[in-house]
Amino acid sequence: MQPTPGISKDDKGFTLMLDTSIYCLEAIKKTAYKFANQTSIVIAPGADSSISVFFNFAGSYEKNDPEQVVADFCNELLDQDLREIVRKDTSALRNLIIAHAFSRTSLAAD
Amino acid sequence: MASVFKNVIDFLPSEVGYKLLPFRFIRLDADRYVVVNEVGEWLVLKRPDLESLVRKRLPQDTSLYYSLKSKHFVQDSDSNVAIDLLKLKVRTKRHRISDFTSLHMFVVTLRCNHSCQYCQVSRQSEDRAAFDMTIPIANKAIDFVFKSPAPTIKIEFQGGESLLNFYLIKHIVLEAKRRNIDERRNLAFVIATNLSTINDEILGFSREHDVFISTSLDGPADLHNSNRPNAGNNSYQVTIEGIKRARQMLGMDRVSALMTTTKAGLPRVTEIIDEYIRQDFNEIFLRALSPYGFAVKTKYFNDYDSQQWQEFYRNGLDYILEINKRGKFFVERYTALILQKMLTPYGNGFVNLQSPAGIGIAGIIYNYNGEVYPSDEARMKAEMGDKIFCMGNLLVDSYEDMMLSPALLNPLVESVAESVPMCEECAFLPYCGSDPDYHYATQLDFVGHKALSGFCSKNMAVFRYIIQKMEDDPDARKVLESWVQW
Repeated sequence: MQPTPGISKDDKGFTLMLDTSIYCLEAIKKTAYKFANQTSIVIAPGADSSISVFFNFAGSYEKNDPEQVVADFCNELLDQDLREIVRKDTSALRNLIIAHAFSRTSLAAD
Repeated sequence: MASVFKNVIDFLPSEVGYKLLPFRFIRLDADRYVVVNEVGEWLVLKRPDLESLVRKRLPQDTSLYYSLKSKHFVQDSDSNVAIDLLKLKVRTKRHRISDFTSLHMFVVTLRCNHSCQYCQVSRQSEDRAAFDMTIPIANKAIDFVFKSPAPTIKIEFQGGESLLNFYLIKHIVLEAKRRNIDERRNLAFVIATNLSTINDEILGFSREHDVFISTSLDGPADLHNSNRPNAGNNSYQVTIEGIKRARQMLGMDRVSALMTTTKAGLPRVTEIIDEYIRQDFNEIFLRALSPYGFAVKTKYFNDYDSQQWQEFYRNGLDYILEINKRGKFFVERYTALILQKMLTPYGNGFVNLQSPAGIGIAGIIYNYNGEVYPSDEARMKAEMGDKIFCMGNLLVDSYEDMMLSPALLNPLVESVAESVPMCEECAFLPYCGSDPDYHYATQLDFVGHKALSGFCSKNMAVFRYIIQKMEDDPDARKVLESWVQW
């Protein structure tokens, strides 16, 4: 079986190399945060625009299937990337909607 | 002669394409995503359609596009009303916040004649009058109740076993009703009781003053007796007889029951549901244990994890849906509360599914000793020795002091889910809420790390399951829709 490009494995865990020209750092961090119940993650800068995401499965994470967790991480990262597009496109509108929805109530200061 | 019609160009789209409106999405299962707008309207999409939607490549002449447009996920040059409609819908959905505190719980005594191992209240023995609320404290609490601007006020009597201090319950009901002649609120009363001391005097008073009865029923006799032991080892029999007696005096709709899931009950969800049907209830609330009071002290809370409760819930909901499909109307109440958020323009007052959290501003509790807490769970925490949520004492502090106290405001400010990591991007946010009590009890933090949160894991599983049912089983969808009350 061919190794997955960008993913390497050693006796300490898995390392995923990501290019920040493809995935924004915000999406990578949000994905890492979500996996706190499955693995311990360290994000570190790499060469040029790359960063490395290191997955450690020691201790209470030992029972998890590392390959499955890394695969799920990659899928979630794609989702987070898409969410970033929606967020950038709509956050101003969301603020406007919420602000107007709560305007002229005793709940918000003028 | 001038034309009465507008120029043809006025009927052409002024620009091609569409704009995205705010929405969130989450994976529903291996192939599908659920997209949810700011007010909880939702659609299920395949990944390629989601990708096309976000990258604005979705063809505008498809039924999917029209569905997305009708639910305000996109806006095009045809109409610019979507944003105004969304503002109106957000305001409608959040209307209850401005009503403020409507549920007021009085711990009229901490004494109890049962010794339930999972009890979420730290009980005291029955003969210790030092744990009864006094009339001066009750009067101060009634003052507090009517300071709330809520047009609808529910006063709920809790314990211990609340009826061990029925004298005070009578006083509170009569005094609140007297004050309400001027206040003109929609006032309701509920006695939470194990029914062991119910008698004709109590029932006669309840009938005269329209007081509801809420009791505990954990399932069949052996399970109930094991969960809720009393001196005679007959708590099931006492409860069932009490329910029958109360119904005879008050009417069927005036008596309700709640169950608590213990480890012993996990494999018995169908038996528990059958017991509720056998006792002529038309609903059940499949309720997990909370990490408070004796449930923590006796390690009961750790008896099972969120995953096990989720399986219990799924099995229970499946069973209830089949019962409904066979023609019997029977509701799972937690599902119905969530469906109200999913399928109607309105929110609901369920304290644990509010953002900001419902503590203090949806419900509040007056302890027997005058201390005020923003939730029953916070009070239980205090009984275990941690008074972090204590807002003050009715005997010395004013309404304003307590409602503006850091004990309430700090967890409230932190609990706005729209600004909480993981919650802010979660598609289920419009259905969910914050539970600072739970997260403080389990993580010593009002917000908590949601990846480690049993509250989050449980609710995400419930939301997913409900949507899957509605998407994949048309008959189940009809049943679920029938549970929603407007």
